[in-house]
Amino acid sequence: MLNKLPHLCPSCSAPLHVKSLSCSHCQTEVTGAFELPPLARLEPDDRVFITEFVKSSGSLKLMAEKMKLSYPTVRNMLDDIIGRLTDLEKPVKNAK
Amino acid sequence: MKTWLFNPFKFIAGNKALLSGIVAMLVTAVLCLFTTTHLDGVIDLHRGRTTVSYLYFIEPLIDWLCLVLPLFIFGRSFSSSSIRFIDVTGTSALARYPMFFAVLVSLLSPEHIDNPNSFLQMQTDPQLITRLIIMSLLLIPFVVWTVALMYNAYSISANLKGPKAVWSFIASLLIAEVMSKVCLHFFY
Repeated sequence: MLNKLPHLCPSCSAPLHVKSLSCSHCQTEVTGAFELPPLARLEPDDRVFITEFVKSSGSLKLMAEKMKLSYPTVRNMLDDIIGRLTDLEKPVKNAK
Repeated sequence: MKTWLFNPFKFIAGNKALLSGIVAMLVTAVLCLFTTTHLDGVIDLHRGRTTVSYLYFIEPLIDWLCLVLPLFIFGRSFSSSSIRFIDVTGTSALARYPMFFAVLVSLLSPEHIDNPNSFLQMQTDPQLITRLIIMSLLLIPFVVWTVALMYNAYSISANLKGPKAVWSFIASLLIAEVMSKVCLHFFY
């Protein structure tokens, strides 16, 4: 099972940063302070939706057919994700 | 099952909902014709008054369109999503299907209820009053079901939730009720 990527501190709810990255092939480790992109900070279900949406060439109609849901339901899901993405971008913008 | 009963719009909207809704309205209108039941308002139902046949088909059409108009205008005003007219019309049409069952239940009521003579008769016949009370109580769930469907149709089509959705829906329903009464007045 793939672990859920945490993006908020469980203690103070501040955004988490990536401290180190490692290569599983040669064991090289890179350390630093890397910010998680907003897309990576979304919930797994939202990321799956976005992946499928891109694979469907951005067609909500095709997405609705795939998911066996109505067009407005799928459009609402996308709008909700857009809202969450906008919220996630806010602290990043403020930090800059 | 609960979703299919109260929020089928999660799965059906647009043209499919419009077609299913129109078929349901036609079937209900035929039932109304044979039972002299009038859907003379967005969520109104009255029995007994005999009128020309075409009125039974015009009434649900006016009720439906009178609701679509304010829902679409409010939806456009309050929602940040791009609302499609076909979704509002389609889901609102399908939301009216419990009226078929409401008409069936209304058959329990005394006939010619709008007739002044029947009111006089009711005063002297307690059985008629009992039938009317039972029918009214049985109709409540169907009215609630219809309104719940109408609200969910609006909520999904316009992507509105919370107080904004509730208040704009109540306003739409009130406007639609007045509009439908005024429009139908020209046909009577």
